[in-house]
Amino acid sequence: MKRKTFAASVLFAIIPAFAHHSFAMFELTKDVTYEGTVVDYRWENPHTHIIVKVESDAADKSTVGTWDIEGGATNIMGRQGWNRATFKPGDHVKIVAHPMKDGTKGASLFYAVLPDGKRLYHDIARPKGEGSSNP
Amino acid sequence: MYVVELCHWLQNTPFATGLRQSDLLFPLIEGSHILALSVSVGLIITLDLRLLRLALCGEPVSRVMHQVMPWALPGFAVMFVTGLLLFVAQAEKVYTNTFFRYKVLFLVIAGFNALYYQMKFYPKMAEWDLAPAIPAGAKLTAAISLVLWAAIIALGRTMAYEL
Repeated sequence: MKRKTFAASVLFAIIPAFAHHSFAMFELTKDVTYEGTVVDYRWENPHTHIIVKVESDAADKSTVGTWDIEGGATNIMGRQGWNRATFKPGDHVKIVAHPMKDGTKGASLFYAVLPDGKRLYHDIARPKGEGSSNP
Repeated sequence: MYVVELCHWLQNTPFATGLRQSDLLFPLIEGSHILALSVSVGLIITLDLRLLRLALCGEPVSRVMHQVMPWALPGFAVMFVTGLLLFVAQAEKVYTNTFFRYKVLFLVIAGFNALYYQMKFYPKMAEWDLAPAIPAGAKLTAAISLVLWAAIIALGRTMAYEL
């Protein structure tokens, strides 16, 4: 019985991380806010991509430029409430993401803040204290 | 330059875009590619280990080969077709990926390696089928095959680690 519970917990620990590739190339402890305009919204597999242009008047100067924000597969994102029409080029967006370790202008999506303040997450990962469906 | 343009066109055909945007087809193709790989490469490894006298040593090589091939070849076919579809879906992105280029190079070498075995050693198999000493050349092709397939799988996996 104990062994079964252990196996189940291992399985559940693996599920959120099961993706096209691991998150090793991203600085996961760093949450950076990218606020700008959607250049391209690619609803596709193995990863969705949101290309965001941050103008030079941004609050965080280190975020100025065009960023490739990578999300999950369409299945994973769909379960969090995303769809192919969530964004379109020209939309204003505010995205919190984990930047690439090597400094290239890419990041792993954490969540997007919608105009009404609602958050759309990458997957079931939530900041501490904010209840997630899986413990 | 021309190939990049061709890949750009391929990736943007309705077929490729449809594959990329499908919730069902893409994971199905991706999953089948890996499962077919385990069947075909798993069995190729079995034959290679027999040639190196590291496994199934009591069995004639011909017998191992004739048991393994009816599964390894269809497995390879599924792996190849699904791999082709995965390439079509992301042609432009994948073409410029260094790991992908090495993977294709190693696949081609693995192909020639298998062809060499098939032409040089397979026709005379009856002579060394149960012999304790397998021709050194046949052993070498088996060792090369093991190394190449390990590299191909590792490269295939590493390809994903580029935005």
